[in-house]
Order: sequence, then C-alpha cells, then structure tokens
Amino acid sequence: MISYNEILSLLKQKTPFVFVDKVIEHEKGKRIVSLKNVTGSELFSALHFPDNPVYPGIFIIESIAQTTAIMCSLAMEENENNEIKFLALGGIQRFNFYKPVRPGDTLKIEVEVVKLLEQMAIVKATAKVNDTLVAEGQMTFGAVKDE
Amino acid sequence: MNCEERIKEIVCEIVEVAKDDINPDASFMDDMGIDSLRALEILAAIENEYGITIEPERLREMTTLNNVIKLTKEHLGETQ
Repeated sequence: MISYNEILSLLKQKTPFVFVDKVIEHEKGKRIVSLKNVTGSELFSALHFPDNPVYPGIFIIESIAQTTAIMCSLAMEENENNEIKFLALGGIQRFNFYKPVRPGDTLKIEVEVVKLLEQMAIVKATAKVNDTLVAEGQMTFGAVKDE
Repeated sequence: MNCEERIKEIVCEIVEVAKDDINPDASFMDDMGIDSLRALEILAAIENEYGITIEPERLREMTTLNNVIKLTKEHLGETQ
C-alpha cells in the first residue's frame, strides 16, 4: 500500500490537484490499483453542477494519469541515470464514461500496462465505483524532462 | 485476409488514414506527422494481433507501412 504522503512525494502535482488518495495494489511496471475518494467538499461539487454534483469526467482521466505516473515513477526509480522527470499524457485512443460519479463515491482506478518502454507507455484503465464500471479507456504517455 | 492486408488495416486505423490513401513507403513522421507515441500504438497492436514481442529498440525501424510489414513478417518467421 502506498499512502497519500508517499503519493505526494512521487507526483509533480500538488494538492488540491492530486487525484489519487491511496495505492492499494502494485506490480512493478505491470499493474497498479488506486483509490480516489470523491467528496462534497471539493470545488466541483458546488459548480458541476449546482444542486446536481457530478464528478467531472476529466478528473477521472486525471486520476488515471496520476496513477499511471506513480506506477512509472516506481518502475523507473532504480535507474540512476534516469533524467526523466515528468510523465505527460500523450493521447487518449479510446475512452468511455458509463455512469456519473458523485460525492460519497470511492473511485477504484485500475491501470494495466499494454506496453512500457523507457520513455513511453500505453495503458488500459478502468474506473469503478462499488465494482460497477463507470469509465474505461486506453491512453499513451510520454516521459519528458522537467524544464 | 493476408498478413499484409491485416497490418495495413491496423496501421490505417491507428493513424486514421483510409486504406486506399496510404502510401506504403511514406514516412510516418515526415510525411504523415505521426509521432513516436503513435508508433508505439502500432507496435502494441501488432504484438497483440499476432502474439509476438517486438524488441523496444526496433521501434525506430517502424517508419513506414512497408517497414512495419517487414518487421512483423520477420518476427512471425522467428516464432513459427
């Protein structure tokens, strides 16, 4: 398990733009599972939409991207010559949203590597709430130097 | 569908070009504006289709449709 504090040390993003609360499973360079608790105290809940809060889909994508970044960070940390500092979302080949996510839900993000190279990755990801699929897709990432 | 046609289909779907419009010798990067992430998508799709593993360092050889076909056939020959 990887705690929130450890996650903060692995990600470039800082709170409140951290969309992963905990990593509950991790197979180095292969697979990772994280949780994101969606709460009514987050800014979106008052605005998206008033009286009908729905967790923005783009935040689900960001949760997947950050979960992938954590996995790649852990996969690359033993490489001493690693100059790569930042994993950037390069493309979304396919992504579907199936059900709305609302305050009180816990998102379970599962990311599975399709192909992981030193500086690029393709992953398949699912987002579930109570074992119900709410979103899934495939994305590519490219590692870039932090300038 | 033969191997060449299937690979052409896979590549065209990923690069979003009609099968009749793709020049098999056109450079993905220089002529079609395809970046390395898209090339990685092609590599992963080919691996998945044929159950082969293409060495990551050979990604740089996947510069045209004909080169992708050649590389795939080479790996199919090794695994058959």
